[in-house]
Amino acid sequence: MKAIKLLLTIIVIAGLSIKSHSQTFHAIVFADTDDPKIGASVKRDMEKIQNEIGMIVSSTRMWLNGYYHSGREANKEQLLTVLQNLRCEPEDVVFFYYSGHGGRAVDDRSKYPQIRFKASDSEAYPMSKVDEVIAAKRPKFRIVMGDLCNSISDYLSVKSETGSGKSVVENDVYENLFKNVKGSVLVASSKSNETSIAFPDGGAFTTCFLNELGRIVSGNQQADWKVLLEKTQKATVKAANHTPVFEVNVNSGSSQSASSSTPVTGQQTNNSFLNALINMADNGGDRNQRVRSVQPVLHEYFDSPHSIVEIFGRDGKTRLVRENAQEFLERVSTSYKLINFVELDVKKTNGGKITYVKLHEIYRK
Amino acid sequence: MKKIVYILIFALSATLFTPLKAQTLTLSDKEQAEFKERINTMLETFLNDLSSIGSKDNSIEFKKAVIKSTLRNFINNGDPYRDSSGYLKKEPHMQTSVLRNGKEYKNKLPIKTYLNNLMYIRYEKVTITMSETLYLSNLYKVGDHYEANATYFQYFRGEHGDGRLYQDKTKKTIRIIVQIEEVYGKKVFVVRFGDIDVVQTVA
Repeated sequence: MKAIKLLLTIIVIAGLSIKSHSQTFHAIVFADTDDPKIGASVKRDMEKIQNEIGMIVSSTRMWLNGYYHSGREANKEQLLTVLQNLRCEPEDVVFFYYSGHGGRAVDDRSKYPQIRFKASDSEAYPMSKVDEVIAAKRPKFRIVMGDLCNSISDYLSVKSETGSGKSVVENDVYENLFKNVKGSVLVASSKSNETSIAFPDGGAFTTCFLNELGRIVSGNQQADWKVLLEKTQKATVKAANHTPVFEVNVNSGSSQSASSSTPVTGQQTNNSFLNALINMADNGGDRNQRVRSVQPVLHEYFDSPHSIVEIFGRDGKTRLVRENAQEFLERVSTSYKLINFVELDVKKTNGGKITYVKLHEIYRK
Repeated sequence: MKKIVYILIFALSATLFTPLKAQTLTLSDKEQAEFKERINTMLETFLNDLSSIGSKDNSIEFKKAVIKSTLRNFINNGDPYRDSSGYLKKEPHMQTSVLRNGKEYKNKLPIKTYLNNLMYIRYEKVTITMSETLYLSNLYKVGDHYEANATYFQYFRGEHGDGRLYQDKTKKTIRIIVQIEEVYGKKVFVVRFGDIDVVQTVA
């Protein structure tokens, strides 16, 4: 009888703990990185956006469900599957981002283009439809963003202002933009009949958007989607001569945000490897446990202690550290202020063990 | 003839006594700022590690793990090493200082010895923090690598169990050894610490 009571208690507590984690940030990222013309630029977009998502969840303390699809996985069938299987709670946030080819049919009425995976009409799907499907899931806040209809321009460029060092969570700007709001944002990188430009270091629109967002965050400025996108629009026109289009329907919403005195910590994700690293990092866990978890994590996830780990800066292209898995885990287990990680690239054996991983680290201030 | 000899002697002397210019590495403003930020981060982490090692709140198990990780930031993991000419060099040292009756007493220890001693320091709690790096020299070429010096202020606070307190402020310099690699067309700095010396300690 006692055992049954204990078992029931454990089940209830487990159920409560599953349900009671705070808001979820669903990040759906599709990037056509295999395209021979624009693939390299799209890959840069994806890396920078992934790092930005890492900062958003670190700052807002939301649980991250990341759905990242690139290369062969960036296709219409996969997109439809992800959208169909998306489950949202009323307090959740959905961020959809696409970088790749786009276009419009002759009879298209929407001002937003169609996503065209592999530059193929049979792989086309309207951005407005993506927005519709996500809206039907009824999250508190949704952003649908596309950098599409790209063509390479070698002689034009806009300088990315994304820093090359580590990321540091500093203020409440991300909370005000992504967590404490209700409604929707829909934005595409160019208006009807315009071509969007891809620079070697990323799409013009994505680069300008991240530059403007970075300025608001680093300046701890009043955060407002309309102002952010107007500035992005202006910068994109100046840099690449095409005009992003957008609709902002946003109100401040109440949320279950923690008080500002709650320490900033890394939040759990749907990636068990990253969860293991977050638990090992400086997130208030027992220090002896952190150190003792090195060997179990090493054996669980890595092919060998000599598997390679590279840490890259915020821009996704500046390598800061190269170490083996053993050294990396030992460093993380005794780290100071390190709270979160973004997985930018991973290579695994057939058995699913990591031989190489490229990460970005996020620190609290 | 005499004139020619004098001119030759003068020219030869000038050559001999012209100071040899050290090869410095010129960094762009952005690279310099990034390098300085990197050094600040490494120093901040290092000083926090020292606090962790010195604190009675942490187990010996955790402290040993911190020491192992900290030593990786030092040249040859804190052990003696061979330079590019093959000469054996002493391990990096940590110079400490303490104020007693207004007088400064300095001591140098190999970094491994210093860290192991710090595990058993007599204070209940140790807090070591720093100001931002005051000064970072240019990177100058030494053999097959580059070196720089950083100067910073370190604040030390030791609390005894009975409430007694010792605190001081020390100006320190640290030798920084840098290997520069080209990765994806960008310079990447592989940074290690060398000797850490005291310039001056004040109460």
